[in-house]
Amino acid sequence: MKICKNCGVELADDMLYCPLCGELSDEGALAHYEPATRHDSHPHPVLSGKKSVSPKSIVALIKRKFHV
Amino acid sequence: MKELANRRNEVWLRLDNAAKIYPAIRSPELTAVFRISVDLAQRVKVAAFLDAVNAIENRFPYYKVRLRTGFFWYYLEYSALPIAVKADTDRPCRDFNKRELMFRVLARENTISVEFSHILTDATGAFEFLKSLLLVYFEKCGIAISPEQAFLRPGETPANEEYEDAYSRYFKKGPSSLIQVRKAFHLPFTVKKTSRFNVLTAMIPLDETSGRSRHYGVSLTEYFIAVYLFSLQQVYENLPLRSRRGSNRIFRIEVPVNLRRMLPTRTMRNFTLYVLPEIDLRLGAYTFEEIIKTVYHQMRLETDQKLINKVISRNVGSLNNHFVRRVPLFIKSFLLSRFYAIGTSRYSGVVTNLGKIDIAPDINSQMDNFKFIPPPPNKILKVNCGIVGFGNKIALSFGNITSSRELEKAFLKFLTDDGVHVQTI
Repeated sequence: MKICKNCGVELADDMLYCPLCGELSDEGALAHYEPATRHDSHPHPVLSGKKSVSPKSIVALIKRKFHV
Repeated sequence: MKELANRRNEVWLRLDNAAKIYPAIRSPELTAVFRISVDLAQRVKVAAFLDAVNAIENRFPYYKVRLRTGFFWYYLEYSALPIAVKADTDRPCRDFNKRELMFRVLARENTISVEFSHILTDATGAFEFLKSLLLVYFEKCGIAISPEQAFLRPGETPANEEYEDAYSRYFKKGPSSLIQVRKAFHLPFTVKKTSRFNVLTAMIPLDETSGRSRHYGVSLTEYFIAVYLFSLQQVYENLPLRSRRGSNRIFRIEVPVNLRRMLPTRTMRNFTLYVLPEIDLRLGAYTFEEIIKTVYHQMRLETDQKLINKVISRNVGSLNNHFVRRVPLFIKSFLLSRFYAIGTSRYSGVVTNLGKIDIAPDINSQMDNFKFIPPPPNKILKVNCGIVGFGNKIALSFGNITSSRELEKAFLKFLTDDGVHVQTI
């Protein structure tokens, strides 16, 4: 029996989150967490390490895109 | 609303006679929203619960409406918005915004609640809705419901009578002179500024309380009104002499009466009037026995059918007046809010008793207790009380917008001293 940790109602076995309060069930929390784990193996560009973008590079990007 | 199923978008309803005051006075704190809750024997199964809400979604079209503003009156317009189903994790009896329907369904642990704006209905209408929801929910949980069980079933077409304005049906032209009523005593407690509505609930055994009311020869409602008046008197007597001198000394309680018991209708909208039992402390302090006797006789006098007809004539007649009908809404709203303030200055508190709920033995065993939380009281009244019985339990819910619990303490202490076991929850 799955119980919502927030509002305490009984969830159906296949529910990943509580439809009343949106709280993730244990499986839901796991499913939510998994993509992040997968991303770890194929890391996305790190946004926090900000790369400075110069106006010149933007112009170059536009030229490349539109074959100017 | 006869052709409701076919032409929903074009359907609108006039507010019933009792509802007309609420749009004019409501605010984020004075919401005119009340709640009926039921604690089940088991946790709420959310899948069955949502299925049950879906099943009854279109059974109550007169509640699936939004408040609209006309030039002369507010009116209700059908809305295809789904019923709001939420976790019960917030303050009770919160206001509805203009984009919402004016009722919601809530669940938490083993409790199912419905909250309704008084613009839509009274506690009887809300209870019928909750009853339908509960019975369909139990059915979805695999509990058999007897075909003889009386309730508004999901597949039925709503009867015309369910959305009638029963006040207009029973309105007869008659004497409508206003009665001069003196201002009443009001609790001197300081009102909290924000998020001010708090509820204290106490459970008491029905058999013990009935025993006490039988001892005094009165009904349970009369017993509770008498206890409330006695508690108000105690609060008054505990005030410093200076405050007592400045207070009104008439103690009057507003008691809603379900008119369906006297004037048959299946309406699911408001159909309630008020009686106002009182004691006058200018004549000296009252013993509890004296209060009981006064309340008993006043309740009988004021629930006389001829008098009820006269009050309906007065209330409906005043709003049907040709001049009033032609006054623009913004002026009407201002006047109604003033009348409301004057009206509430005439009584000291509100005690609403829903009575004893009894559905069917096999269904009753699935539930533990019911609670009724009245709408937040206004700044004048400060405290009110909602009562409902189920099985051998009576739930007393005190709504309060102050930090003081003096009145509740006096009320519950009286019950304890009278031999009734009180458990606060």
